[in-house]
Amino acid sequence: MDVHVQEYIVKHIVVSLTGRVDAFSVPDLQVQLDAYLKDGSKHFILDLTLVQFLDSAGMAVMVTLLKRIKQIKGTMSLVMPKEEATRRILRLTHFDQIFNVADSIEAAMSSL
Amino acid sequence: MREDSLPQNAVQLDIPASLKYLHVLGSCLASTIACAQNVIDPEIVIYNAQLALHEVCANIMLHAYAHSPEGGRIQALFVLNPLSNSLVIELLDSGQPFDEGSVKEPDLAQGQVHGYGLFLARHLMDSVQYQRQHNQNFWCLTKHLTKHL
Repeated sequence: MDVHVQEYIVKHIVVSLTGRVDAFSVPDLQVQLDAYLKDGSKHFILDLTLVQFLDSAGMAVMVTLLKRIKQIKGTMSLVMPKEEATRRILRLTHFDQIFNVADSIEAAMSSL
Repeated sequence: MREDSLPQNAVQLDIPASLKYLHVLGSCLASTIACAQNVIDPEIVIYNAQLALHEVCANIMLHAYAHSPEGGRIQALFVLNPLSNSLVIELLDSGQPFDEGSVKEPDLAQGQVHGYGLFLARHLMDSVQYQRQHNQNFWCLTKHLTKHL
């Protein structure tokens, strides 16, 4: 019998955000995400656990990343914020349906 | 903006139309709402009003003043109306007119990059009105503070 074993290690980029994710702060986030994509990264977890304020500019960055991830056949998950007001915004905009969502990084990793 | 005398409890701000000042408006609005009584679910009310204000102001900064490299200013007025238990936010700027017809509802099923700003403002407030007055843009946002969310 021949046993041929191959091991694959899949790199996941976990981006944890804190505080305000808004029109003023997202340009820096976009630059960092672009750098990872350019580097060939395809699997992302956006950890919003400690996000206290999220506006439409922050949402635009998330949708942009999702569209690019789909083009390169990668994966993307969101870890939902603890802040209930922010969770409501994600439900109002149906982001909880558009994205794969989880309540922790571990849960997001295990669902991939 | 009101040309008559301001109500006793009105809070008035005049800020540069720059994104880095958005949090100043938000903080002041939160403190204003904290002065209201019998607000149901105040944390959610404050967050929602802050986000609606933030979205309209970001729209003014990025679009109304898009062709004003020297920058413009935004006048903001916050008024608590104890009789109707409501918050009124008035905004005035001297930027380009807002084209209401150009705004489309976002496709919530697919997700899209643009179009959530005014959608959020309109869903988080009870009323969002826009008028062009004397070559200026006037926005009026209203929120009832004692209504269940």
